[in-house]
Amino acid sequence: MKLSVRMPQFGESAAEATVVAWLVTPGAQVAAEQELVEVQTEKSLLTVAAPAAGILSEQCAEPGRKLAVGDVLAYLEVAGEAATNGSSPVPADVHDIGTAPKAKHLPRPQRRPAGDASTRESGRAAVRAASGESAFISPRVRAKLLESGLKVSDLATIPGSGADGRITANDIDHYLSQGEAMSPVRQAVANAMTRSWTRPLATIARPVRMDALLAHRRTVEGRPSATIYCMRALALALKAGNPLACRLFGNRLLTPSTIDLAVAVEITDGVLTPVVRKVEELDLARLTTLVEEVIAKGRDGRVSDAGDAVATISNYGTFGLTWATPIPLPGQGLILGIGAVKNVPDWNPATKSWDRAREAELTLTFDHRIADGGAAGRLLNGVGELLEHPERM
Amino acid sequence: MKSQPQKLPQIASPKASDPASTNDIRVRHLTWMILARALDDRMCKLKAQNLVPGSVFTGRGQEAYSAAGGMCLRPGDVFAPLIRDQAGRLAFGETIIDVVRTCMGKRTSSMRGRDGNIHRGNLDIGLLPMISHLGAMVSVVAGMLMARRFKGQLVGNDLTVGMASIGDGGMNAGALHEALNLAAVEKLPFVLLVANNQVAYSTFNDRTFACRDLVDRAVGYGVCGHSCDGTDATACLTTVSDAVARVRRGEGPQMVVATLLRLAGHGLHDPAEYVTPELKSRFGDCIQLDSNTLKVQGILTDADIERIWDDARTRIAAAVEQAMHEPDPDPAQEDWTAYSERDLKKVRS
Amino acid sequence: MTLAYLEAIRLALGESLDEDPRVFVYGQDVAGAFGGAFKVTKGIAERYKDRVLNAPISEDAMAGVAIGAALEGMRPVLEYQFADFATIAFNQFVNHAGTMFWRTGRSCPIVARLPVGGTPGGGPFHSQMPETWLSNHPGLVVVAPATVADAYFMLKDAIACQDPVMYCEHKYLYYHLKAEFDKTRAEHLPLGSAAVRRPGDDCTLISYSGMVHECLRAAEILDRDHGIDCEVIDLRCIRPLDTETILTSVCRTGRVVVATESWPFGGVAAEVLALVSSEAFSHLDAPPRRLCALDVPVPFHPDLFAAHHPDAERIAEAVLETMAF
Repeated sequence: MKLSVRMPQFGESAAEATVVAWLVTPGAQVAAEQELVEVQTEKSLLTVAAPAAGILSEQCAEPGRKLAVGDVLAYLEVAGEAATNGSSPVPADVHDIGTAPKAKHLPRPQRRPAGDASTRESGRAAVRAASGESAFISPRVRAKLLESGLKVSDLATIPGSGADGRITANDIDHYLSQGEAMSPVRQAVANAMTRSWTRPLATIARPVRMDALLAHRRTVEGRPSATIYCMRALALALKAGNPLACRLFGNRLLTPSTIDLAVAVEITDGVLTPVVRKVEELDLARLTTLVEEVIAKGRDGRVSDAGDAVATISNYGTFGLTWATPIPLPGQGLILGIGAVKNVPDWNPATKSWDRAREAELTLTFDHRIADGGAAGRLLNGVGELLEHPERM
Repeated sequence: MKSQPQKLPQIASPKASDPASTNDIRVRHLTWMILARALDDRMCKLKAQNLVPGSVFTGRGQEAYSAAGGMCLRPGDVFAPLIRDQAGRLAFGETIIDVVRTCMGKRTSSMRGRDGNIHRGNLDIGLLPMISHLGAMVSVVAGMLMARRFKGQLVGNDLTVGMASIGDGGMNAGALHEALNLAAVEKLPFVLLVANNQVAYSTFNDRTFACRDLVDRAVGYGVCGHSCDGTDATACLTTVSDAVARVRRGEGPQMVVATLLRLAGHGLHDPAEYVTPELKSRFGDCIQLDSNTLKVQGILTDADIERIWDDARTRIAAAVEQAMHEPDPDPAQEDWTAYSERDLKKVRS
Repeated sequence: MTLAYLEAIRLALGESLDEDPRVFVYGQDVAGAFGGAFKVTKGIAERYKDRVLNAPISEDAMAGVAIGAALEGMRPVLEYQFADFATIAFNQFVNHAGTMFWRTGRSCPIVARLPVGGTPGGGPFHSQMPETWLSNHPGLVVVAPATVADAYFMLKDAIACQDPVMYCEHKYLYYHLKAEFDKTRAEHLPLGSAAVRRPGDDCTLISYSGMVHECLRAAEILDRDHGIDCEVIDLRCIRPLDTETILTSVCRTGRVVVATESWPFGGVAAEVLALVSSEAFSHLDAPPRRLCALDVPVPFHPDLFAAHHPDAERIAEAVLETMAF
């Protein structure tokens, strides 16, 4: 049978060696351990010997050729019985011993769980035992719950891909990725509302008769909306003097020299609050034009922060709502809201009958640190009276 | 009081055939011995006063030999003393104040309270701060001498000298063997002072080595061996200065073995009851013996010797007074790093 | 040009001798035409007969010589024939070199080149990994290059470093690892920083020295057969440890496997896992895992040897288990 002679691993570091000279010619009979070939490693000149007696049938590398450790140098033809040794057969490639190891062909060693169990411990089993068989929540999953606002009870609806159905951090990411990301505008609104909500806010309300206003708007160029009347009325009421005509910074109350007002405008995924400056100096027609301009700019995304206005007007009535408590923007102390106009019965003592009247709810949400209910009530009444007597505007 | 640098005596001139013949040198030798003894005594008292952390290790009984070693060195030489070398350290240039500060662990000491007592040193003057592992300092001295050779500084017939101390115990450490052999192979200007004080902590010579005399080992290493009576001050000066002179001339490593007795425990904590009266009776105290000799020869009077003691005690008292008022290290102020590179990422070849 | 790992060390050593008269090489059999047990100093020893010197077989005294020479301003580079033999010098390394700066304020710039790691047939005393023992002691810098470029740059930087550097060079990589290397173009990473050898999102694989190559192979297997994307980190420097790179990666992937050729107890892998467990706890989605050599001395027979330390297949299995948690 044919037996290969391979390049041995000479020394701890050798990766290859160069054939220098053959000491035996092909066809020659060689004894076991007879020197066959000289090879040069990085470190020294060494000889490779025959692993068994036989005939050198082939030289596989000429002098000068570099071979890697484990490469075949030559083949020996050995007698059949020479390849066996008693009951146990000699490995076909005896020179494999000493060449680079072929770990993957070897059976995995059975590692005994000795005193140091940590080398092979199963973390999952250890953790599960400690958590009393309840569903295990890894530290990363727990952190993701906190960050996302999900509750442990929400996990019941999430399919787990880990061992025994455990929910992994990836599962949560995947679950949340199915939802839609908040748009930047939505996130900005969310942040502003959260910041605003840290203040003590109070809301007051009163109804306001709208008949005079609705008649009056037909006489004004551009037919101003209820929003325009509210802005104008709020500007005049603030200008007349009220503690809420200011903005609070730290413990300093700053009163702006002009009344700048923002107006809440709904866009696709949020609310914009473009600002109109010096509202107290603008008549209703002019204000109508300007508000249309800033709303158009706002919708085009060309509007900047509204934070420096003193208040905002929110006409939630346009959505058919009759009553709401909008939240003032951070940095502003109040927001005036007006609901949808509705028909109400009005007792006419002259005719002793019910007439139809039109009315809307006027709401004012304010920062209670700046002023109290009295001042806010006087302001809201001032606005209401102006709206009921639009000719004064 | 500012710490005063002490003058290094210049005695080991290669021309001085018998340095001990100079009375002046003999008096200075006794002065170093007494200063070391007085300092050791005071450190023991400070320990009793609980002013010194750790133990106190004294060189009692070894002053004559140790001081001779320090006196034969000069600025530029290297000295690696061990625990019983108070006298040699002082003679080589260690200041009293640094001894006191280091024993107290003061922030102002050369070791800044990070290390203490006999581990002190001053690399600026070539005084190596020993580590506790016996024999370890010898190869370091060899390395310093080799560095000087690399730099072309070891030429001529007046070489700088490296000196290390070892005892009958340390002579059996592997590190000592490696290093002494290496110094001999490199033919370095090196002197090994072996103090055979009979006892390695509590183990006597018969359980530490089997050769007739430690000096017999010299020939095995290929170094020149010398012996002397370590209780005889004059013999110590003569023998050590001869060995040092040979080294300076380029004759290669020398080994001196002095026979003496440790007149104290291993440290202050050790009453050394294992030292028998019989053994004690065979060895004198080098300071008493030398004081007597100098008196008999008319070189010093009792009053002179008393003045030397008084002077030593006065200087030590002043140093103790100063050191006691100096700050201890402050854990909050300490620079807690063992690395001299502040940011390894900035190291660039 | 193509350079073997060992040749990169030789190149760095030769250049250091060329550039800096303070550098000298001291070790067993390094001098003359012989050029050292592994031939690292071959060629350069003949150029510098006065600065590449043979030492007696005195591993402890060699280290003492280096410390003394460093105190005198030299830049000694010690060559130990095998890191295993440097245990004799442990006292000088940890008690003397490692304490020098703290005790005296004086730097001790020595470099000890330690041929580490196992090769088939090396056996218990020619195969050990010393980085755990050495890195436990403050004051020593411990590096373990895994690439040709690192072998070159880290040796030069080690010689430039003011602190004692234990330079662990892997014997198996000496001739088995070859790479294109151009020192003017190759990336020169600083000491003290780890390197991300393969970016990935699913699991962080941490190793150093020869084991980096097993981790890279494991990452390939996992990518090819299982679609698992591993990030492979080469620590490069054991002491100080680049905690930032480790934590950044683990915080992203949430899973970590550390593979070392050295033993498990109190080892570098244990240190990394302690770091991850305490500093990145809330980012972990699976128990951090280590894979070390079996807790017995390094065996002689190649089959036993191959089974003794982690390889790519076993590392891949560990990652699969971690991913399945």
